[in-house]
Amino acid sequence: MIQRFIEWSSKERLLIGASLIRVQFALILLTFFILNYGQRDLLWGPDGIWSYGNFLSSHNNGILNLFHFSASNLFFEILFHLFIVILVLYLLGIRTRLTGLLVFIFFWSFYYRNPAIMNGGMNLLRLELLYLMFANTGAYLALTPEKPVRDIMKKSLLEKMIAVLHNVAVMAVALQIILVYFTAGIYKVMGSYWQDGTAVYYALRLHEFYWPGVNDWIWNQTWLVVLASYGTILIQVMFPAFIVHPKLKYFALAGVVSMHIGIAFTMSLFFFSWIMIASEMILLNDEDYRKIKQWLRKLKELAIYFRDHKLVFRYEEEK
Amino acid sequence: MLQKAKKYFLISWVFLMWGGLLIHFALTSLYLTPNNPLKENVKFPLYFYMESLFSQNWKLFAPNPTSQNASLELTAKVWDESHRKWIVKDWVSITNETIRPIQTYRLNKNAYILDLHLKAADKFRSDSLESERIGRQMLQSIAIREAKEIWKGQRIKAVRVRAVYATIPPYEKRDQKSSEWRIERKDTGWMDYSPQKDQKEGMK
Repeated sequence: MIQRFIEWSSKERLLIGASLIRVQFALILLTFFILNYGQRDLLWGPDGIWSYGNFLSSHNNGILNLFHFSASNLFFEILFHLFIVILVLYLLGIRTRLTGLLVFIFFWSFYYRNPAIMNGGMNLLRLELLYLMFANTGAYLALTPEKPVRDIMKKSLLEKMIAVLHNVAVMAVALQIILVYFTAGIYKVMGSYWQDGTAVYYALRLHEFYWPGVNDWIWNQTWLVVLASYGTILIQVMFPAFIVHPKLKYFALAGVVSMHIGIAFTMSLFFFSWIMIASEMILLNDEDYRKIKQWLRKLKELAIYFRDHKLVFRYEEEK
Repeated sequence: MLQKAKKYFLISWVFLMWGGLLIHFALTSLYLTPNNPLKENVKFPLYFYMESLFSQNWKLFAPNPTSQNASLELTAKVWDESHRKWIVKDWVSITNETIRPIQTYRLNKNAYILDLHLKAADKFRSDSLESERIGRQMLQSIAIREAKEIWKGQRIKAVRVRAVYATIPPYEKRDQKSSEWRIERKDTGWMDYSPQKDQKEGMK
């Protein structure tokens, strides 16, 4: 039993999910920093709205970050542009062990330089980047892939130890996302608006999330407001139980992905939704991804079949 | 002999790592629970461990989503050259101008400026003196930037911000006009048209 567990642990797992998360996280951060490029000084610069004095006086978890080294504008500009370069390298999968570490250090620094603009999604991203530093995120979709040794008998002790660390790290990412849903669901159960089925109305009515014409229509459909409010709690609380079931996990994932797509559009929380959906990619194993690839291939074949038949049909018509 | 040592080393490593993960998530789960006697008993070491690297909060619109729309209004003392005196300008809503593009184009950089407005309004209303001080400082920074844009090229002596909190009506009164919503206001009073002292000190 112990021997089987040791062998199971010594082979890197969830490699496709880990690589997909890396690509998604890099894209999310690149989009986020490029979107805010023109107002970077306002958000993180020494003369920004979250003043350097505020940054120094907040405890920052007692841990130094890169912004503690200098308050100069030049230093800030170097950090900002360097981070974008590092993110591109991480996205391309170049030396992901090193770039993964750098992405975490830089993101940690920017996160605490101005926590006022960071939401729950960015908090999750910060935690997951920390865990992912110990995982092999460069086995797939990488220019310099970190190829795992498949044959366990040929592995050195160090390679086995690194594999164990990888498995623990990806499990940490998975457990973290499960905890997010469960905690959010349990706290919602305690809220009076969630209990009376009107919470979604209040969220849609906040002016920062308001989508003219769409949100008004939704909150005027009583059945939709109640269904969305209770459905959110149900999906979140049941998520841990569903996700460990080999078949129900697909329903759980479809449920939360649909919920996040809804949140992205109706509440304009694109980055939050994107981070949540990207994090969920770790919840499918390599076998699941291979199955998805096969389905996609079949779908493509089907599309080609229909395209060809259409062509023949036209050809006959022309004759 | 060496093989055996390696084998035991690997077994120890596996149990150390998985055991560590188990303990970490047991502590994370306890940290995330609502206040309870067990959490209270271990609060100091628990928070010391969790808040170093793993601080988190997943309430996400819980227990209830906020039921107030916060916004900022700005006025300033501007030099009137024709009357040779400082005049007080009418209140201008600066949050509405920031929100409008977000409502039209959903992925919009204004969202982060808006986050700063809302965070400043929230902190300014806090019962904690420190939070209120940070909120006021943020409001001053926002006001200086906005005033510079709104009264471009004019001499400005002081700025003043009013945080407005409008309560969303209950679901059964959802058709109520926004002019009939319950409104609360909190005013910063006049603030210098220059960054605060602590901000400058932080720069040194």
